[in-house]
Amino acid sequence: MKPDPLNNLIKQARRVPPPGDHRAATAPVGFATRVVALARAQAEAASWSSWFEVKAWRALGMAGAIAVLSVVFNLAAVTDSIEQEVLEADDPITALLDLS
Amino acid sequence: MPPDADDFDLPAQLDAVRAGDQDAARDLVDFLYPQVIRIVRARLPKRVPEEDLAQEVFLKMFSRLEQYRGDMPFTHWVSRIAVTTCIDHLRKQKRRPELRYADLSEEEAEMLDVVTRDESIKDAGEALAAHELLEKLLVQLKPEDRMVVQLVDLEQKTLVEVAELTGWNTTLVKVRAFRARRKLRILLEKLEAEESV
Repeated sequence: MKPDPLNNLIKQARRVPPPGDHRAATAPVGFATRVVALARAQAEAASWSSWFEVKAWRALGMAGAIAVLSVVFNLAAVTDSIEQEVLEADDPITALLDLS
Repeated sequence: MPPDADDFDLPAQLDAVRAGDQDAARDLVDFLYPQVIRIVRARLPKRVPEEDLAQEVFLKMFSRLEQYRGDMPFTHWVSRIAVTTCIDHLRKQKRRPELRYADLSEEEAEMLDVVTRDESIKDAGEALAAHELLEKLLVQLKPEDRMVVQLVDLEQKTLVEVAELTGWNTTLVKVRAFRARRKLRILLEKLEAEESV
C-alpha cells in the first residue's frame, strides 16, 4: 500500500502534547476581578445606549406624527391661500387682456 | 485557586450571576478559566496574548448570558464561545505567503523525508519537528479548515464533540475535514516536488 505522508505527519505531530498542558491553568491574580468589572462596565454602557436608542426612536416617531398631522390639518388652508394668491396675482397677461 | 468542580454548584452560581452577584461572577470566571485557557492556548493566533483572548471570551460569555437557555451544558456553551473567538482572531490575521521548501528548517525538511518514506521517528525532537511542519502547513489553510484538522486529527475529538464545540453540524464537520486534508495533501505534494527538483 502506498504510504500517506499526511497521515504519517499527523500521527507523528500528535505525539507532541498540546501547548496548554504543561503551563499553569489557574487564573492570574486579579484576572477575575478585572473581567467582572469590564463586563459590568460594558453592560452599563450597553443599557444606557439602548435607553438612548429607545428614546431617540420614540422622538423620531413623535416628530413624524406631528409633521403628518400638521400637513393634514393645514393642507386645505394652504391650498385655498395659494389659489387666492393666483387669482389675485398681478399677472401681466391677465392685465393685458383686461385692457383690450 | 479555581473552585473545586465537585463543590461548585453551577446552576446556582449562574442564577446568582444573573441577579448581579459580583462574587459569584468572579467565582464563575475562576472556575471556567482552566477550560477556557486550554482551548485558547491550543488555538492561539500568533501575536495575540492568551490572557487578552481569554478575557474576550469571558466578556462575550457575560454579555450573552441571558441568551443561554440550558439546551446544552454551560461548559460546552462557553467552550463554543472560546472556539469561535479563536476562529474570529485567526480570520483577522493576514494569510501567510505560500510555503516553500526553502522556508523549512533542516529538521522540518528531514521530517518531510521521513513521512514521505513512511519511516517511523525515533525521538521527541523529531515529533516536535513534525508538529512544527504541520503547523506551517495549517497556517496556509482557512481558519475553519485549520480548526477542524486541529480538533479532529490532532486532538482526536469525535465529530459530535467538534460539532458541539464549533456549532457546525456533523456533516459540515466531515466536509470541512475532508477538504482541509485534501488541501494539506496538495501542499505536502508541492513541497515534495520542490524537494526533488
